[in-house]
Formats: sequence, structure tokens, C-alpha cells
Amino acid sequence: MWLLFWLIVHLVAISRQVDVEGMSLFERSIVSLFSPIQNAAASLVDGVAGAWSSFVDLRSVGSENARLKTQLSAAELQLLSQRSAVEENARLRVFLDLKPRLPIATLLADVVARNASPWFKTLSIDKGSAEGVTRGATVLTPSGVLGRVITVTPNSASVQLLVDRDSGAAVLTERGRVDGIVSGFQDDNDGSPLLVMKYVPSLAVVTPGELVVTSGLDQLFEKGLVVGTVFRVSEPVGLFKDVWVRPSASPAFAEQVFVSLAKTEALPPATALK
Amino acid sequence: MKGNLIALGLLAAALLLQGVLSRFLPISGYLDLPLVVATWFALSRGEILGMVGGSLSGWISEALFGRGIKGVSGLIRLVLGFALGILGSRFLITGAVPRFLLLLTVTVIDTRAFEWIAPAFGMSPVQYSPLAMTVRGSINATVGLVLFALFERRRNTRSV
Repeated sequence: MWLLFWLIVHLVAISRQVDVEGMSLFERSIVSLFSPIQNAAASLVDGVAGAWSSFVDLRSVGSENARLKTQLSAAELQLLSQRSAVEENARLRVFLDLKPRLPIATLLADVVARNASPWFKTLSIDKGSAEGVTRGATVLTPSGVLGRVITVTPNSASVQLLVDRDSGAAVLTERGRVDGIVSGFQDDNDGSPLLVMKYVPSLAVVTPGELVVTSGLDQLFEKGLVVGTVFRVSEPVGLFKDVWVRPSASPAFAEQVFVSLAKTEALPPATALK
Repeated sequence: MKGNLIALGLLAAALLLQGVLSRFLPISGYLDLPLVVATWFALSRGEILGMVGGSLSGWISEALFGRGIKGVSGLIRLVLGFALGILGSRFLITGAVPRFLLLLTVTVIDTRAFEWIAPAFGMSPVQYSPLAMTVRGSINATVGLVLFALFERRRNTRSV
């Protein structure tokens, strides 16, 4: 009798979410209750790990200092050359009468949980609406796009990774300018996640090793962000062929991420991006 | 009452530990600590509290780490908690082999049921191959055996 009662309660609770935008009161309460503890636990673990690594690092600090100085000099030289390239790019844009693109304003956030669910590819971060994080914001690493914010509380946010099976982003190949849509795919044999690029015309030329970037056509991700590299191209079936892409940003190693603070479009009521 | 609060505390600790460990290891594919604790909760406390523990473990896991429609895992674990509660109140499951097999079966049912029900709510969860499923179930069961022994020792110490 109790089982039947609770089954009905659960089914009502689940079905009520279908038309509700954002988080339910229950979900908001749970996340608000747990996120400060989760953030504190993550900070504590980081503190202990940091203290230990500082102790170990002291032993090789001298040689590392010298090596870093050399690296810094090289990086400064590289920066100078890249700065001149950026200036040249800006000049060319003016010549071509294109609007110069503004850099994306971002916020640095710590990852407090990574793929903790056995069924979905998500991250939890320690920044929320109090710091300006909005639902739908793009999440990046220096290597490329990682995903999008799907739920926000004042002190935390949940990120749906691009490698999740329900995610999606409009992309194009850098060289051939071939359009498609990437979404998560089953992991590779070695356990690394893969993306599949769909709706690629059979006659389009796509070669392994080619860079894949966001096209901005979905109005969800900003244009020109690196998504990954073409890994394999399938044989055409009908009008289209599938292209497998190895993502540039690996969620397995992301400890800190950048969250875009640019104004984003509201997500549809169902939180999945598909 | 105190025992129930301790069990709920253990459930909360399992959820936090699952989150913290996930930062360093890809554990979610192999280990589900909230499920292990909920299984213990149901076996040792009967069907009513088994339902509560199972349901809470599913709902909170989904609220913290999931996405999309929440409650599918809570629904599955509600039924699992009820079944385990009945099983625990009628049979004494103490040996390592029966416990291992029980935890393995619970993990497989929980995972396969989610893979089967979630698409009905528009979600595409990770699909585990039979090999990955066996590895996941075995690791979960092994960790469960150790945790069960620890919980049991703690319970015996308190009752003496």
C-alpha cells in the first residue's frame, strides 16, 4: 500500500517537472543545502593536496625557477609576435569593413564535482548567480569548449558537458567550412569521450586532423570556439555521413574552467540542449 | 530514531564523497556510493525506511549531479528499497558471497532500469556494455562488502 502511494507521489513529482522552467523548489533546496558543504569539502581537499604538493615542490624549486624564467622569456617573445598578429588582424578587419569581435568576458570557477552521475556527463562548479553566472552560459577551458550551464543556484552551477549524449552545438570544420551539429557519443575504446558530427553532406570533404570550431548558427555558443579535431570519417549513408571528433577540452582534467559572462539566450524549458 | 539519523548522515556523507572523489578519479562509471549505502539502509531497516532511503538517494543524486527531469532514479530506488527491505526483514544475508551477488544484482537492476526508463522522459543516458556493467557491478559489490562489514562492526559495538 505504502509502495503504491509513494510510486504515485513520485510519478506526480516527475510529471510536474515537464512544464516547469528551471529548477523545482525541492531541487533548489537540495542543491542550496549541499553546494556550500560540497564547495567546502572540495576546498579542504584542495588545501590538503596543495600543502602536500608545496612541500614536495620545495625540493626542486631552484631548478624549476630557472626553467620557468627561460620559459617566461620565450613566452614573452611569443606574446609580442602574437600581439602584432592581433593588431594586423584588427587592421585587416577595418579594411574589410567587418565589425571587430569583442573578447568574451569570463569568470574563473573551480570544479567541485566531475561526472559524478553514472548516467550523465556533467560538472558542478563553485560559482553561481551571485557571481553573475547565468543559465545557458558557455563553459570553456584554455583548450576549447567544455559545455554549457544548465542549472544555477546562488553559489553553484551545473554544467552539461559537450560530450553528454543529449548535448548539441552547431559547428564547422576550419579548413573546408563544412557545417554540422556535434553531440556526445559513446566513449572510445580507451575510455576517452568522443563527439559525433552529424548532418555532414556525403560529398563534403572532411579530413582527419582538421580542426572543428563552433559556427554560432545555433545562437547558443559564440562563434569560433575550438571544439575538437576530426578523428574519423564514416562512409556516406544516403545524403549524409558521420564525422567523429575528439574534443579538445577534456573534462577528465578540468580543475578550473572559464564561464562566459556574455549575455546568453534563455534555454528552452527542458534543460537538455538537444 | 538516532539510528535512522545516523543512516541519513551516512547517505549524505556518501553523496559528498561521491562528488569529491569524482574530481580525482572517474569513479561514477564504477562506483555508486549512495546506492551502496541505500542498499544497507534497506536491508537493515525494513521496507518503509528502505523506500525512504532509496528514494532520497536517487532524488538527491539526480538533483546534485544529474540534469533534465529529476526523479527517475528516485522512483527506481524506491522500488528497489522496498524489495530489499522485504528481503532484509525475512532473510539474514550475512555471508560475503550472498552479499556480493546481491549488491551486483542491485547495481545491474538500478543501472539497466535507468537506461530503460530515462529515454521515456527525453533523456539519453550513458549506455553500459555488458562488460562495463559487470565491472561496475563487481567494483560496487566489493566496496559494498567492505562498507557493510564496517557498518556491521559499528552496529555491534554500539549494541554491546
